[in-house]
Amino acid sequence: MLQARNGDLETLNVLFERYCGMLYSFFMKRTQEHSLSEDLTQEVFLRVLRYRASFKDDGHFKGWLFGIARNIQNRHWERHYTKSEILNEDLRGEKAIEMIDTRNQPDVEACRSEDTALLYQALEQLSEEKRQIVIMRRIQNLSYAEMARILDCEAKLLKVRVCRAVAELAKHMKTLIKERPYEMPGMQ
Amino acid sequence: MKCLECSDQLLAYLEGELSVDERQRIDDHLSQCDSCRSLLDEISKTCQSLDELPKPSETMTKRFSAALSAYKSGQTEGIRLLQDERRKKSWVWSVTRNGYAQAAIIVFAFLIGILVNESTSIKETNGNRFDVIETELASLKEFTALSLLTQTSAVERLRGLEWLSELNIESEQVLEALYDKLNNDPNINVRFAALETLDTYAEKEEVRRKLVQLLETPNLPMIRAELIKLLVRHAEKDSLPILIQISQDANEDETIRELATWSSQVLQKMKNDEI
Repeated sequence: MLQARNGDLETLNVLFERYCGMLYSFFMKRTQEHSLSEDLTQEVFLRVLRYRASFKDDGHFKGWLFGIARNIQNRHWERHYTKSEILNEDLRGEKAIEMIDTRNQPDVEACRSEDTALLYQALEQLSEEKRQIVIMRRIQNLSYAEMARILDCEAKLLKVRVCRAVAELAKHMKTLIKERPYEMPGMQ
Repeated sequence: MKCLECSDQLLAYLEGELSVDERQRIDDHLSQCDSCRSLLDEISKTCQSLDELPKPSETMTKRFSAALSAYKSGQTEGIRLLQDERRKKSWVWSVTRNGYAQAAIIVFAFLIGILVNESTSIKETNGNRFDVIETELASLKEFTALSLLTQTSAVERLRGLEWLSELNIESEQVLEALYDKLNNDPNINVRFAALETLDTYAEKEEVRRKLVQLLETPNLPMIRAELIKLLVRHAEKDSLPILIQISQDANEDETIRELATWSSQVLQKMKNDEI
């Protein structure tokens, strides 16, 4: 990001490849809409491009990036939806305000099952690094070779790391399903 | 094979990423280890759940890359114009370049002084004079903002747009200037900013109508994309014919075609819901 700030804009393409999946999942969890999540992901990076001069030397890029993402999400909700605010439980010390969309959106794609919501919740319980590689491999369907190029590490090492991350995700899912107050039909 | 070595390879095993020998070793271990079989089952189910999640389209990276290229082209053009400007050494040019803005600020400050002075004197009998001064101030603000929009520096044009957004001046001249910046400004940042400013005026039907017309004129793909999204946000159903046309135009940018298709479906649904 420092390189981009200092004029090497091509590095933003690399950053986009690295983080677009995480941003897309971030927005999907909150909007449940595929096209909107893609648009908002683009919007985040357009802001990164336009306001790159404000990134500080000692700044933490992921924190800055997701700060922009939360800002864009909130602005979007303020503009478009009547709000019903529910204070969500703390996720790593942050209070998340969850807005309910009361307007019928014609382009909503599949994504409203409770299991999906639990899966997104489990994903957010992973560390950022683990979440990133799970998303890149299992949601974006990038090959290990592509991931190795983007993340600048060995493919062989990535296979082990992704496996451990998915195993941890499986444990989180199991816990979340057990903690659910009721059993859905057909669930173990 | 020990469990730790096996467990680290289970995902690769599921994905078919192992060699024949490696796969055989895992099979042998799994046939004797309940714990690893159970872990394999959990990993498999989790992968199935992940596979069912919506995926970002493959064109997302290309779209951003295109936006970045457009931005860099706009920057290059802006720098070229600035360099042309600096070559002109006439003192008359350097005065008039900022002359309008400077003169406007001096007069503006003078009128502010008058207004402050008036507000501390007799108020009741000066109602009419307040109105006159306010009208003059409004005209001055408009004049200054429009003047900034004609400056050769992109930074100053952006400042002018920022000012217009804050002041929310509704005049024919301002709107025409905004449409011109959106369509013709050499700097992509200025075009984006013009569109953002027009968004604040888009509650007015005539503005939305004009924006629909502008969709028919050529522009950078990212600007057209933002324009389409603006029209959908404002539920402008009169844009349906042009959106359908764009979605069927083989010469149109692929991303814009997809966006126009989605947008026309959204608006059509809104229209049907109203009937």
